[in-house]
Amino acid sequence: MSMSSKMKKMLSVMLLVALLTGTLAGCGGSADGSGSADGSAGSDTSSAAETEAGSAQPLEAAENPDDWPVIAVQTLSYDMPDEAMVEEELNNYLISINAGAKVDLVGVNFGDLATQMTLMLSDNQEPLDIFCWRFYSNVDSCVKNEQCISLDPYLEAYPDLWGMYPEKVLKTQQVSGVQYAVPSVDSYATYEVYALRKDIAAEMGIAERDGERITIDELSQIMKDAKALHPEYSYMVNTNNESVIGIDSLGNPNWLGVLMNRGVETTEIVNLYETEAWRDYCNRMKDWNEAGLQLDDPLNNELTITQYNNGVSAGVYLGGYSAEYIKALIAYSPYEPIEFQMSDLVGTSASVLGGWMISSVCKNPDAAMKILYLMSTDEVVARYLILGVEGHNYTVDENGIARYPEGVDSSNATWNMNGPWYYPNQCLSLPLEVEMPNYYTDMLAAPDMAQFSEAMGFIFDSAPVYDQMAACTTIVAEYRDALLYGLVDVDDYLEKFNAELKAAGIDEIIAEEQKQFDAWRAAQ
Amino acid sequence: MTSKTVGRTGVKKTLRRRFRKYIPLYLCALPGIIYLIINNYLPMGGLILAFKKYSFAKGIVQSPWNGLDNFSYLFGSKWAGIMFRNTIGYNMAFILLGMLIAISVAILLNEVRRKSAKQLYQTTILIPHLVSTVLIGYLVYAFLSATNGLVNKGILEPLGMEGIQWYTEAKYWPFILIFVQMWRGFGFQSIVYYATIIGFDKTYYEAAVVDGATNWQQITRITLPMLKPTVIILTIMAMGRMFASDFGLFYQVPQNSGLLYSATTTIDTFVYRTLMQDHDVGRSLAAGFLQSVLGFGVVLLTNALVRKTEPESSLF
Amino acid sequence: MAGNNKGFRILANTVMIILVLGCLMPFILLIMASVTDEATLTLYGYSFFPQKFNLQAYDYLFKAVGKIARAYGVTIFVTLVGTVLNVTMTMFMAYMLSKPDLPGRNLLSFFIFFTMLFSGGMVPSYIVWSQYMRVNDSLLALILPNLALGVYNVILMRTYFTTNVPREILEAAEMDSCSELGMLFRIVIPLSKPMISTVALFAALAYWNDWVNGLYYLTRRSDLYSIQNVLNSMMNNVQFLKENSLDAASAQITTQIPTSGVRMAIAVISVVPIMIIYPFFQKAFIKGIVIGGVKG
Repeated sequence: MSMSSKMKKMLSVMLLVALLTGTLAGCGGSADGSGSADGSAGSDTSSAAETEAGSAQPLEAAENPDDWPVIAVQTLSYDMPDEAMVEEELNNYLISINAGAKVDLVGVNFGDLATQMTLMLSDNQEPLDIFCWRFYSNVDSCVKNEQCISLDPYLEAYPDLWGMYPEKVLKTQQVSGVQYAVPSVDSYATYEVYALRKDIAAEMGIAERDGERITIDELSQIMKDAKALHPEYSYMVNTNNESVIGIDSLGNPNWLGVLMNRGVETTEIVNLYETEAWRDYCNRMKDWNEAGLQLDDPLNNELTITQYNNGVSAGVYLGGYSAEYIKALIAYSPYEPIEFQMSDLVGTSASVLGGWMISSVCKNPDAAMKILYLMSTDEVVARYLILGVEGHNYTVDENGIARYPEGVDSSNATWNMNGPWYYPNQCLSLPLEVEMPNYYTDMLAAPDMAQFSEAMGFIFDSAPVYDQMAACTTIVAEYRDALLYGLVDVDDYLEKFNAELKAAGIDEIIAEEQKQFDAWRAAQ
Repeated sequence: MTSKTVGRTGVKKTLRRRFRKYIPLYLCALPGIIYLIINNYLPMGGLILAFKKYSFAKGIVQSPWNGLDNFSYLFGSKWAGIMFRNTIGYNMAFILLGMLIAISVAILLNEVRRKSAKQLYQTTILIPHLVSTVLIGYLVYAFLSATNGLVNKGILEPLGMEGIQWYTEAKYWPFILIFVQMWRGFGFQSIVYYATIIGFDKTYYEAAVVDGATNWQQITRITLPMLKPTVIILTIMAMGRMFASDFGLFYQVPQNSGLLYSATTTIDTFVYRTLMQDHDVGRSLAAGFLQSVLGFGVVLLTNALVRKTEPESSLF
Repeated sequence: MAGNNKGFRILANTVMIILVLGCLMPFILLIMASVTDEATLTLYGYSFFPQKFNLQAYDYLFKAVGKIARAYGVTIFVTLVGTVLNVTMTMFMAYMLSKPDLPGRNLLSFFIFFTMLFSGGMVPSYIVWSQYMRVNDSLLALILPNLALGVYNVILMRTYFTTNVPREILEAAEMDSCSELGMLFRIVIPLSKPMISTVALFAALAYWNDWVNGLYYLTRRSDLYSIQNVLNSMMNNVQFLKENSLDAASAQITTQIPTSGVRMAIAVISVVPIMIIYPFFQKAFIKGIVIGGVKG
């Protein structure tokens, strides 16, 4: 008895200690937080709904470059030997143009991105200032968790930056009319082809059909014929393909509420998973799987073009803005393909693949914005980030194509040059090791030839249905892949899947989306 | 010889004198105490986030309170049931099966007479305990990969059976996970029981042999009854960890495959996934908070039980 | 009766041999997987007797020897320093708590024990270590967070000190006006060698196998990655590619992902050192388990 009362006493003491220490920890944190928030006019971190967007002036450069703020910028060059060198060259350039800020390059590994970015974005001592949401999150979620700041104060200070983008592209990086990210420059519209190995197509006698538009039924037949001839290959790598399924996902990779027909001439948001079209697609995937067309063990394999390059799969979906571009993309592969066009050139919100943000822990947003501006508009800065140092990491040939130095290829390069599309403006760099000098110029022209989804530029604000979104996301993570790769009995599984989505509130999500979408359209 | 009796018979000194005498000890232990404050107590303050909507911009203290929203979300989703069922279910299976296997192995090990053989067995069955869960993930994959795995390619297909898509079928995973856990931990537990068995008084067995008892009778009439206290204490100790789970086992070994979530979601993996998918620190901590509170209750209960059965082993 | 006994002994040996094989086989499969020719792999899968050997994976590692050697160096350094730190702090705390008449002993015990109950989770821990302690992006990040002191070990060692070091010897020493610290070094430690080596072993294993600290705290210094971090981030990369559908352009990053053979080879070299040293410490290890399991 006496033991237990003593116990109680000690317990309360301990809880008190824990509480006290906790509060202390908190106090320190708050001091740091407010310190950074007072930093400058542009550093307002609360959502713009509450504050009037005051506009900031362009950055004034301090006299001595040693006093310039250093902005931490996320890059792809994780564990790359040349990081210090590229950083130094880039900083020398920034000094030479009197930029007023310097950079600290932070390479993040793709596989570790989810964990490391979450942690770095909560670190206000040594903040990561500029980051890209691609592969990490999406605009809406970054805003909800207050991981990024509003860029509205900089709309007037950098007119040439915002002027680079079509209106609807800029809108994809807004929530409730507030600009939160600078979009990664791209073609903003793509179509899909099915690439089949040319040697196999020749054997089948269909090599001359290169470039033809076919239906998905015809594709099934072609793959089955090829399989009969060469059973050792699979013919399909990744069936998670919005373009072939024909939807506009409104930028949500879990497809919770979509426009059919890629959003072209339709404004009704539907629950894809309930549609007949989806059931048919699942049944087709089941059929493909049973016919041995799908890659074995899709959930444990890299579902990428690597499978085609390694000769595991003899066919693969590829996306791009033109036939020539797609050929160029795959030129490095040991197997030359022929292409069957599967869909039209359409742009949706999901076609804007990435966007660059300034983190809410950033201490000097004005300087960060200046750097982000240069990354998007200054050819020299963009090339340092994308290609490294000229003469060391690459050389430029007479056609304006970047080439690896002698004896170097992507496997042993000392700067990661494989991800130009990740950075704010790939079109300022040079095509790398492809025989297509107009690789980037055509990219810029592509949107003029494209159709666009009715919802291009619409971004759903998920706040009113936050819980439903989170619940549905985990359900999709559990069920969808098995259907996409035809691993399960469609009718049974689909029924369970839909029942759970209903219970998690997908109908409320879709109703809210439709409401916001209608309001958005009315405002256009 | 409990500490209490020593305290009473020991030299009586005033508190201050005792305190002064132990100053060097306090000082030497100080780094450890400071370490615990930094590593364990300071982050505990973060548990208040379970009652907040965490904002990356505002940090721990300034993030707004949202009452019990994080908890109502948790219990509104289907995962609350699943993760508690799994965490408790797996732990029960681990405890019961682990005990059964470990005692059996310990008894068998005790029957081995050759010293070198005994040494060899003891040494090898501990090897699985030495490696990281990352590595165990690789080992399991070598067996279960649908395309290359030994089970499909080396056993099922040569026998004319269809390969199984292991990483997509949740129904197999309770068995796989229990198997992996047993594989990894049975050696460790067996040694504990074995050490207890060799400590028993040999004369009981000698008398039994004279009376013509069979091996089986020796086991059921002598060994098992004498193991009872050890079994009880080890089981109670294991129960104290009823709400904890080995993150690596449930996350890395099944390779975080979505199709397996119903079988692999425990409180720890749920906490991690919520953080990584939704970046919602508050919600993830709500689950962590529950885990801590429940675990705390269980440990107090356990300790009370231990104090009753074997006061020497109680933690406090 | 003797026959019966013999039969049982044969059974015991048979079962034990099966278990021993069961423990070793996965490792043999792993080694075989790392030397299997990629083409053979797609045809026959992983096998104990691959039809065609290929040392390409190790060739690849040999080329990346700088990186691997560096990771190894980090692992060894961190394991050594961390273990010494861990054992020292554990010993001092346990010794203090083993004094029955220590003022505040109960409070201190509970202070230590309480940490086993509540944990603040990943983000608060990260904030404390990275923002208040500033350990990130240095080797300290691999040594300090979470691993430097195990509360369970403190309790184990305290119990060992109180039960295995005869009180009479300590009292005699006190008569000889030996200081408290002197007693620790001259009497308690020599008498507690098995326990101390056990704690050292557990700590060393925890450091050797840890990958969490590197992932959390070395965000800007991946050159300080330990061998487990290298292994883990490769696994994460493969998982990343499974989970994200990439268009053709972005899929080019995959050229950087090593083949499955190379991944298996790195797994092999991460575990080989443990297997080599293990025979030398297995006696202490077994003893430690016994002490921990029975007395704890």
